[in-house]
This record gives sequence, C-alpha cells and structure tokens, in this order.
Amino acid sequence: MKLRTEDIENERKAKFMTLYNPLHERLVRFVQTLVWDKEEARDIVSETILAAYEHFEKVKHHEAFLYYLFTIAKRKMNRRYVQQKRQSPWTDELNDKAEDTSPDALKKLQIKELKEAIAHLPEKYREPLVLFEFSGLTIKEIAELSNLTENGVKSRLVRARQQLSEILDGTLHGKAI
Amino acid sequence: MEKQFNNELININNLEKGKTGNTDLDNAISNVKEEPLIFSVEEANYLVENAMTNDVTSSVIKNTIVIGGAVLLSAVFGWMYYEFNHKPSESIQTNNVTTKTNTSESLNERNKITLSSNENKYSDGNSTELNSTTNNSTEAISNSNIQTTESNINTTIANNSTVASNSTTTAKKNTTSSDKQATKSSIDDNKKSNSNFSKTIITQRYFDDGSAKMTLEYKNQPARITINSRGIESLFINSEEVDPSYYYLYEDLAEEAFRRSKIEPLAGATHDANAKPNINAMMTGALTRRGLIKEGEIFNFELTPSVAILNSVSLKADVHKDLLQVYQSAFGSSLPRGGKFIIGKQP
Repeated sequence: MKLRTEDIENERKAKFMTLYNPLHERLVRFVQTLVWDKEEARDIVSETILAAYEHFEKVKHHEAFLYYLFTIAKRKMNRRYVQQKRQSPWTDELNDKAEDTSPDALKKLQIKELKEAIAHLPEKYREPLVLFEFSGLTIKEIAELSNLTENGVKSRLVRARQQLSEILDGTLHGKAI
Repeated sequence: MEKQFNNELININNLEKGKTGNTDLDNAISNVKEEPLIFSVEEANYLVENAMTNDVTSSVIKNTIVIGGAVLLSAVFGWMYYEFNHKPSESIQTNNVTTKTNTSESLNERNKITLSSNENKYSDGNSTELNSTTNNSTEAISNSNIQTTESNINTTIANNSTVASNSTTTAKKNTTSSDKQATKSSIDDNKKSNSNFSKTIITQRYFDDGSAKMTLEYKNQPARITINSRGIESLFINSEEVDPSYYYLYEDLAEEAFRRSKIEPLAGATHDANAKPNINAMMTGALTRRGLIKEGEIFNFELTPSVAILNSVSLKADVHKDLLQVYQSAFGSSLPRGGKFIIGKQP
C-alpha cells in the first residue's frame, strides 16, 4: 500500500517536472531580471516551484501551465515587494546586492545600468518588457498572462523600449519617472 | 509628435526580441540574457523531489518521520528534558535593571508580560524596581535576561493614555490565513553561512506581528525557530525546546534565521524575545547600525509620531519613519499620538 502511494507521488512529480522543465529558464530569467538580490530571487523561484507543485493538477490544459507558473511568480514578487516596504531597514542593503557573475567589467556596468533602468520603468511597461525580452514569451502569451489584448502588449513594449532608451541615454533626467 | 507616432506604428507591427533599434540597449539586453541562471534545473528537481504534497514541509521533518527509531529516542530525551526543565525555577534578582510595572495582570508561564505606564512615565534607568507577578504568585521571572541599561540614558515616555507592551508574548500563534503571510521553501547551499547548515530545505512563515517561524537543518538535526525583532521567541532542536539561557549556544543558527527573514535583530540575535525589552539599548543599537551615532557616543534623542530629533537636529522623514518602525518592533506597539520617547537629557 505504501509502495503504491509512493508510486503515485513519484508519478505526480515526474508529471510536474515534464511540464516545468521547458519553462525553467524562462521563469528564472523573469525573476532574476526583476529581483536584484540573488538570495531573494532564489527564494522566489523556489517558492514559486513549490506553490505550483502543490496544486498543479488544477491546471486543466498543459498550455495553461505557463500562465499558472508565471502568475504565481508575479504574486510572490509582489508580496515580497510589499513586505520589503513594511520592513524598510534593509532596503538600502539590497541595492548593494545587485550581483552578476560576468567577468567583463564593461558588461557588468551595462547589466547594472540596464537593470536599474528597468527598475525605473512603470510597472505596466516593466513586466511585459521583461517577459518579452528576457523570458522569451510571445506577445500572445504575454497578452494572455497580463489580461491584455495583443495590440495592448505591443504598444506597451514599444513604449517600454522607448522609455528604456531614454533612461539609458539620461534624457529622462528631471522628469518624473 | 507625428513622427514619433509613425515610428511607433512601424515598430509596433515589427517587434523582434532583442532588436530595439538602439544598439546600446540591444547589447545590454543580450548581456543580461547571457547571465548565468541563479537557479538550476537540478535544484528545481531536488526541490520537488523533497516536497511534500499537502504542506510545504522540509525534507528534514519528512526524514524524521520516516526514521521511527530516532523519533522514539528523541521522545525519551524530550521527556527527560521536560522533567528536568519543569522543576520550580529559581528566582533571579537583577541588580541594576528595573522596570516599574503597575501591573496586576498575570504572567502565565512566561506567556505574557504587560508593561503599563499609568503614571505616564516609564523609567528604564538604574533605580526602579522589578515587580512582576505570576499566576503562581510566588515565582519570579526566571532567566529574564533583562539587559543592563547604560548609565547615561534616561527614558521618558510621556503619554496621555496607557502604553501597553505585549512585547513578550510567547502564546502560541494562531496561523490563520491572514497571519500566514508567506510560506517559503528553498534549497539553501549556504555558501555564505557556516558549515553547520547542510544543504537543506527551509520552510518559513511570516506572521502579522512581525515574527517569523522557520524550520531548517542544523548540524544534521531539524531545528525550528521563531524569531522577532527582539530576539528568539522559541527554539526547538530535534523537537526539544531549548531553554532561553542556552540560546547563546545557537548564535549561528539565530543569525542565519535573522538573515533569511530579513528581520533586524534589535537586541542581538540570541536575545530571549520573551524577556523584558530594553528599548533604550535597542534604539541605541538601531541608531548605531544606521550610522547616525558612533558606538559609545553620548547623544540626545527624541522621537515623537511627528518628528525625530537627534542631538538637536531634526532627522529626515524616511529616517523618522524607519525609527518609528524600530520603536514599534522593540516596544510591541506603536508610539501613541502625543507620546514621546527620549534618550538622554533634553534641553
């Protein structure tokens, strides 16, 4: 009987991993681009995986697993953000924790600047941009995930890119971001 | 404007990943995409392998359940510990430290100390008296770990209403859905922390009162720790509760817990959170950590709900807000309207 329970559990795990594995890199890129603190990002990824694993049977269609996974990740990040605001003392420390492992100093600087610029984007532009550019989601997938039309996503992406260029060029200095 | 709109129209139907039209931006995006992943697929697999279905519980606990022999053994030890630990405790008199408590409320097995200041004055200097009562009426607070106060510090809390601190509550928390703010489970390779922590899964829950509870593997044993800003609320190693007087032996564990939960240890990581808080020392420590004063510096500080003044200089709004948060964490309740917290002599 115990063996049977274990078999069922193993089967469940295997099924989950089959769904999860192709999306792993997309998920991690999404989180690590938006969350600077490496430890924090790792925590969010692991929380997301476990939360997704807990109820993934509820996902009726395999195609919907992507939206299910990314929605959980978004919620986890929002919750952390709220919590960090509540526990303010360490926020400055987080800025120093922006990590990248690139050996090239110029690359490092570019990455840091880009991440800073992304952090300054309004939320409605930030998320579609990261999902599109870094997580590799299609416009249709982003539209589904964000509850927007495809044209709405496209428009936000264009504006996000424009603002990002402007921030990086320093042209947004003096404007309210 | 029209030009910009036209550009937008052109771009909008021709969006390609990594091709923004800005070479620098494209390069930066490609650099970010080349960054190594912070979480590998193997780690994800490991996480799922060790996850329990119904509750996100650590593999440590799972193993403990499986190894029945170990459970039996720990139960025996637990019983012995219980027997040993529940002998009538000795009364410890503290010399310097005092709290004036006009309290008739009971202190039920160290569950709650209520500090009330009906006289609108709370003194934490060298010359007040400790006068707590317990349910058993004769037992003094054991191991209260009340910290000594710095001699140059006088505290006055002026307040029209009663200031009550539930700061030392160890009553079991009801984990309602609203209390449970987050459940965390993560693989921790603990590169930063010391080798006492093996690769393990940690579960963590945050509560609305600002405390956090987590389970982790410590020296190959399951450890469960509940912390808040004032220190350790409870600590269980291998299902056995550790006496607060031995918390200092688990400094690395406590520091790890504070680091992971990002709670600021106001009174030190191994401080007994159930002991009476020394708000002066906590606030002094907080000011020092924030670089507002130097260690050992004599200073004057005044905190009200509307302003924070350090050495006659009014602090910025965000610092003031932060210090109000520190006060709330230390005292257990926010500074009431019209209330004033003072360290040092005021003009």
